[in-house]
Formats: sequence, structure tokens, C-alpha cells
Amino acid sequence: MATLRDIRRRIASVNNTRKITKAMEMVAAAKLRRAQNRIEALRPYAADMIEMMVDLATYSGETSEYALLQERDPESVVAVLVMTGDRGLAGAFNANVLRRAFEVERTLREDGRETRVLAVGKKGIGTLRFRRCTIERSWQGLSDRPEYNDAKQIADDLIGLYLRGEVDRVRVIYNHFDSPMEQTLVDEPIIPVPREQVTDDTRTARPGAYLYEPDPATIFERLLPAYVEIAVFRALLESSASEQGARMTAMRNASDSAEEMLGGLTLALNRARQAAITQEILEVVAGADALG
Amino acid sequence: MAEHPPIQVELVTPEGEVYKDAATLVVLPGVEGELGIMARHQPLVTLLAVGETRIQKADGTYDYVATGIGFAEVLFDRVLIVVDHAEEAGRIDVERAEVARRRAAERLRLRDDPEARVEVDLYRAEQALRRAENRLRVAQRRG
Repeated sequence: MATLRDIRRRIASVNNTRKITKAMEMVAAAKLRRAQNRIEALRPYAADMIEMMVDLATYSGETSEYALLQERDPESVVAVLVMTGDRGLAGAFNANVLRRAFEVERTLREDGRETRVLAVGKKGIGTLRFRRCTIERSWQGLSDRPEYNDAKQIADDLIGLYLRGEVDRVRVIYNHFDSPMEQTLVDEPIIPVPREQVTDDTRTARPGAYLYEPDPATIFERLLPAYVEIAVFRALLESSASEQGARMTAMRNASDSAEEMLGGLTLALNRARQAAITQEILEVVAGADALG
Repeated sequence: MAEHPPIQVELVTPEGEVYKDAATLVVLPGVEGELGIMARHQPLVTLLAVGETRIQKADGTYDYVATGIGFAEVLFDRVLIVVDHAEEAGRIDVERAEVARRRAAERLRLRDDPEARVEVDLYRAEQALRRAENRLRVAQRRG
């Protein structure tokens, strides 16, 4: 039977753990709010950018001539950008992304196609390395607060791989933020830029004298990389918000379990204490009886 | 001076809206040179280069914003500026910009140094240098 001292020690230990998980829960909640605000802040920029591209595409003639819009057939090499967090203790957040990444890799391999893996986040890099996956490029230290410049660099690299013909498609796998409790795994193609995202066949050229400096086709071509940058930045922000949400939920569960455990332990402690007191009284009474 | 009708200026970046106010004149750093825009300008779309966007307000004073690459769309009485980064002159952290400038310059120097054996992405380093220099230049505009 556990002694009083053992139980007290366990209570102290569980209590400390609970304090930590509570603190982590609160930190995650604060970071989550910030991450959500940043997703909101990106929206007008993304909307204006895409609106402008659709507009320009209408004026730019045959859009299939742009390198970033060209679909390749067959797609023999596919690059997969895997987005995880830099830290764990976030429930199934990192594991979900990685499981999907391995699935994708297997499916492509069975199909006779090659996969190139690029990874964001320490956790993903660690697991992929452990599984002896060759990582083409990796970035870490940005899952907490991704900057647009980070997205730009990643997008630059992805575009480079595509334009040099090293890969025929780029996909990104990340957690999309639905609510603090829920994330959906997203696996979306970003290069070549999906045509339907930046063009609108129902739209006719706007009447009226619009000036373009330089010509619409040049502007369109220069804006196309921005689509990839925005897609990467949005994925980074979504992933960052999801990570905080997942961590918050995981830590709340941990705090709740700790609380439950504390209840059980306190009960056990009181029982043991009473049993000890009863025992003592019995001994005193027995002792008195023996003397009398 | 004749009364100018106001033109609405909106400046957005991936980090959110940076500037929104009525102005009498907007000077944009277009890729083919600066463009001065007033209300009732012909509708226009232009690519922007890294540079300084000047916004003249009704009282004649200017606001200065260091802007990155992107585009601007001019509508009848509205200018929409969409760029990858923007900082108002008064908010630029000069020390940070100076550090960034030095780092970029150092990287470019290392690239030309055969002994250093550092792989430097020329385009990226040049971009960083241009951005930092732009910020420093615009920062001097603060009153």
C-alpha cells in the first residue's frame, strides 16, 4: 500500500505538471489569437492581388504561354512541401501531416514517379531524417511567427525547382485552421499555378481606356510568382494557427486529466491518513486495555 | 492654389493595411519612373519598384512610405497600392535597417571573395540590400 509520503509526493508532482500544462495552454491561446489576426490581415492583400491577376489575364491573351501556368505531362517528379511545427506537445498536429506525406510518397512511388521532399518545421525535419528521407531543402524557426519574407524565399526556391525543370509539380501539405479544436489536413497543388485561380473565362475585357505600365502581359507575368508567395504564406499562417490551436487543446486535455488525477490522489491520501489515525487510536486503546 | 478634389489612398501588404487616407496627390515609384497621380486621373495599372511613395495631404504636407514591389491601380478617385512590404517613414527602425543593410552588403562582398567559399544568392542579397537602402533613405524624410 502506498504510504502517505508517497501519495504526497505524487500529488506535488502532478500539481507541478498541471501548472506547466496550464501555462502552456494560456501561451498557446495568446499566440493563437495573434496567428488568427494575421490570417485576417492577409485577406485584403490576397484578394486584391488575385483580383488584379484575373483582370490582367483577361487582357493578356493566351495564358497557357506563361511558364508558371504550364501543366506538364507526364509529371515524373513531384515536389512535396511538408509543413510541421518546430515544437511538439501539440496533439496529433505534426503526426497527421507526416502520415499524409508518407502516404503521398508511397502512392507516387507505386505510380512510378519520384518525390522530392521539402520540409518546414523542426519536427517534420527530424522525423523525415529518422525515416531516412532525403530532404531537398528545409526551413525551421519560422513556425512561431512566419514572415512574408520567409514565404517569399520558400516560394522562390519552389519556383526555381519548377522552372529549371527539376520537378514537374509542387504540392504543399499543411494543417488548415478551422477552429482551435479542429484542423483539416490540406494537400494542394501550388505550382503550376492552378489556371482557374487566376483566370476567369466568363469575364470579358473591361471597356474603357485603361493604361498599363508596362503592358498587361508583362505585369501578369511579374505578378504570377506573387500567387505562389501568397499560397505559401497563407499555408504558413494556417499551419501556425493550427499548431497553436492543437497545442491549446492538447494542453487543456492534459490539465483536465491532471485535475482528475489530483482528485483521485487526494481521496487516496485522505483515506490513508484516516486509516493511519484509526490504526493509532486502536493501538492506544489496545495498549490501555493491556495495562488495565 | 486651386482647390484639388481628394483622392482616396489605400495601401495594403500581406501584414495588413498600412495606410488609408484622403490625399490631393500621390507619387508612386513605378517601374518606368515616378508617377504623380491626382483625382480624376485616367484609370491605370502599374508595376511598382522598390522605392518611396509620397502622399500629399490636403494641408500640403507629405506622408512618406517606403514601399516594396507590387502594383498600383488607379481608379477615378481612388488609388489602390498593393505591395509586399511597406513602412511609414516615422515607423522605420533605422538601426534595424542599418543592420540589414550591412548584412546584405557583407554577403555581396563575400560573393566576390573567392576565399570565402560562401554560397550567396545574388538576387536575394541584392533585393535585401535594395530594401534596406530604401528604408534608410525614406526614414530621413521624417520631420
